[in-house]
Amino acid sequence: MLRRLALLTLAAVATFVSSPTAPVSAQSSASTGALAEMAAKVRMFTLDNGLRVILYDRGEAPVFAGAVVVRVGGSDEVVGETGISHLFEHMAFKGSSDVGTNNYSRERRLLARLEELAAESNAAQDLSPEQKKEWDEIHEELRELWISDDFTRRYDKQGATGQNATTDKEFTKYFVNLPRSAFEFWCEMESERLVDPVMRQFYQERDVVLEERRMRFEDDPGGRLYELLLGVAYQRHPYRAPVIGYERDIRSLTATRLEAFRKRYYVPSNMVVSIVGKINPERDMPVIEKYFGRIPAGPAVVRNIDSEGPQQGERRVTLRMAASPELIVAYRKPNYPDPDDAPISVMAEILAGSKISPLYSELVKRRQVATAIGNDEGPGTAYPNLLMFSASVKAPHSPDDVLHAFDSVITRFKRSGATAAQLEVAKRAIGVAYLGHLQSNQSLALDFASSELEYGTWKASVDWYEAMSKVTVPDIKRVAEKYLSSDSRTIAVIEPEKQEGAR
Amino acid sequence: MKRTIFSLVVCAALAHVAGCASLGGASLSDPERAAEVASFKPVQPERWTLSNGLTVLYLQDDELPLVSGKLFIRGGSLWATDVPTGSVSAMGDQMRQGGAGQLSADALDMEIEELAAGITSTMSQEFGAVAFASLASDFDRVFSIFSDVVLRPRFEPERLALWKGQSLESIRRRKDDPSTVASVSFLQLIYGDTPYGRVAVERDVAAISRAGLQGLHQRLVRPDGAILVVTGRIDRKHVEEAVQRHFGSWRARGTALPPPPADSYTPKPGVYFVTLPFSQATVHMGQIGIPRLTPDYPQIDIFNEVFGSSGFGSRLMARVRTELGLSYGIYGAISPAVVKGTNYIFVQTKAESVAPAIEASLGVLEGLQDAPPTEQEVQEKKAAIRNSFVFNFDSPEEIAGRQARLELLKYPSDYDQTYLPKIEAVTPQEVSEVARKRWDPSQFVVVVVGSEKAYQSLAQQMKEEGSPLKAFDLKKLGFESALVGR
Repeated sequence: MLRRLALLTLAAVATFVSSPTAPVSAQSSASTGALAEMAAKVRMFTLDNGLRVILYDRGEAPVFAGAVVVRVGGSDEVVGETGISHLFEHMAFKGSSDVGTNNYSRERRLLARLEELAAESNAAQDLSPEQKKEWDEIHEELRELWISDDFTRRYDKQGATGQNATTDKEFTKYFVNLPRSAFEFWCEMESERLVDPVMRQFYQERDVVLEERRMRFEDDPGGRLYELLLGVAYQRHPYRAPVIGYERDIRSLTATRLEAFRKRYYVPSNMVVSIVGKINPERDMPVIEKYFGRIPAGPAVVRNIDSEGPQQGERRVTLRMAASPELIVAYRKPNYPDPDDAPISVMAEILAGSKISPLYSELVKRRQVATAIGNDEGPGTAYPNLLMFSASVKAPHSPDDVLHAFDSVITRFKRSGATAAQLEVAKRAIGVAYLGHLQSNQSLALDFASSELEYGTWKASVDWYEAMSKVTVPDIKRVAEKYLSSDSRTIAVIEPEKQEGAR
Repeated sequence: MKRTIFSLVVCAALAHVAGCASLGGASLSDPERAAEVASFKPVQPERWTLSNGLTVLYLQDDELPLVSGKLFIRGGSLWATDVPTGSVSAMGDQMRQGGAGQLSADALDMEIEELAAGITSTMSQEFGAVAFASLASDFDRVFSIFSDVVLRPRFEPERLALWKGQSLESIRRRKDDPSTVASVSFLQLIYGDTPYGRVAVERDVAAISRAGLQGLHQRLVRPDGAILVVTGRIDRKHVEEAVQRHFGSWRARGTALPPPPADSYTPKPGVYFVTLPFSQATVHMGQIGIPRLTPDYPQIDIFNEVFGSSGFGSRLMARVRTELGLSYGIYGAISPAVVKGTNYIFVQTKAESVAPAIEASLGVLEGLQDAPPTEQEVQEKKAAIRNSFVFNFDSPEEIAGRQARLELLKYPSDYDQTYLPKIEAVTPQEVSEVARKRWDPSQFVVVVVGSEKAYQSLAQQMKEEGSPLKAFDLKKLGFESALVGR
């Protein structure tokens, strides 16, 4: 995701509500127009346990989007335990001592025995024949006690739509849309899984995640290439490991380790609850307090993460596989709130964000060496990250043909910079795109929560947008010269195998 | 990223139309908040029809300074059997990409970007859609360009050549993605060499011509039966005048389109294996299905929820993913279409568990054929449909767009009023009846895309006594030869 996806949502309103036809740079501050209206209606509360709650009442329909965001993800993981945040996210749908079982006291004893066996058998990977027999017998018994997918089925019954969760480098996000009638239900269920999750069906779910890994990485050339790119662009920082985890690490996880992980990261000071849609703070806060107030306070999360240090020279990684050729060029860049962050995003929009952009015009339309161009920033937002350009190489050209054409555009752009017209079009495009983004209760709820967690203010979007709207032509030239340097980039390519029957 | 908000996929927009009669918010514990849901009365779109047959659905929405709209056209590749496969899809793309009216293709791109607007155009089997999104202040200009895209596309040769290059590349790339290989092969084995099953290959793309696109545009892009939806910060008078000015003189050429062609192909059951070196095996299996709105459609909706369309609430997911840990993604449903849809199950699993995953999926289907679901299960699904109904009406765009889809699919005008009562009346026995009447695993076409290891494991397990796959022939298929009749 572009980091502006996470940050920008709010701000666009101000720009276009106050005087839609004026150029962006002429806009008044973000405190005017609909943004001010919106900001005035957003309310934030902090519960006694330290949990922050953001509420925004909007719209006519009696529906709301509810989000619980936890500041934990791939960047908090160490090798040996990669993938634990994501696997926990899966397990957070398995229910509690009340939800998902018809006899928890029996189940608890059986689950505890599974963990003893796992501890003796390298996370249940090397069960002896006797252990395997006992393992299977326990599962036979457990199957009688389990009510599969009880947690999500209860949501369905209430009319839930779009229920899901995601894990990225920094955040684990749980979200759903519900009719207003299910408000108390939502508070109860969400707090339940934070306070009292039961790690049932863990070893089946570990297999499910291995299937997910096969689908997303092993069988997806783009996914594999991205994993390789991060492993080369980052040598020390945890961004180098995939969020889904290395296969060996996933196989070595146990329910016991997930419990320890939860106790460390799922503490109120490390989470934000956010609700957008029909909500009545006066009436609804007591309900929120009743349920989310149950979560015990815990020690603040302490992070000790190695920084990457400067890159001194171009890096390159090649994936040779039976797949169509692809190219990614990734430049190191600072992350927000560095003042260069917004100009870099605008520069990327100018260079590759539209059909009139120099990269699209040159590579796709004129030279026809690629069929599509993309740009993205990532892999996360909390640490210095990458500006990435990608191209689908068009046969019979090679990734190096595309790179050659790409470099000629970049060289020219660094020399001449952007025109004032290009700059205005790009800013306008970014702004209008986010007007659309604003329409979704769910995107807003997730933005508020992640901005609050990462920057200590849900308004971080506004600040980013204000910075974006002030970017100048000289800013673009400056960041182009500073960051589009071959010494600080990593090139990742898929080169096709040349054998018969290759796919 | 910004383009995604304007994108539209005609099939997706039309595939699922759920509807209901009244907002019956049924909460168990919170009568006060439930009453808020129950008393909600969504606004209705305003509707008028031009003399040429174009219907307009309009709903004002002042929240953001935007206006968006979508024109749905009745007509698609089902009525274009005399041109190279892929022509209609090319025509849809090139209406927007090839320039329009006074604007060359480059000038059109430039102006749309400068306005920070969006215009997209697509054509599929049965329908076409041209959409725009604009700042309210730029509506007049964007709507004028939009009308040029609909009525006066230029189909510039350079842009068609560019499209051809991109299409050839995407055809080459089909085999990079196991799901694409599986779905293309499945489609062709189910529908054969008919307008329902044809998929463009290299020589089709080569044969597409500018004159062909112009002819298709004349034939397929017609006002009679077309529906234009407009929502946003704009008043009715303004919309009425703009529509009259730009579309008032639009006339249909030639006679109205006949009903879509019959589908005469009979699929040959069997297990078809496409060998490609993926770590997972991807399975698409099922049989030819039914048209839309058969009398048992409420029963089918409940069946789908119980069986495999409702994610974690479905039996397929509970069995194959949650209990057996065999798959990350599994889905199954009866999916009606204009003449004959498909009944299908999709599942992905590791090479050595392809047979167990197929067998477990078939087991879920047979379970529903042999015994009705529990009363509680059916009640859960009814509650899910009833309580999520409000999401069909949670924004003006949603309300107007949904109304357009209902009209486009020619659903009866009392569909909304009768849907929920019909759903409430469905019994567990009727759900089982759907499983028996609509599904016949002996007629299944099973496409498996996977490695040689997956093939060996499947071949071995199919021979075993008691395997429901024992009766099936297993046949290897080259991906290219899966393009039936070519």
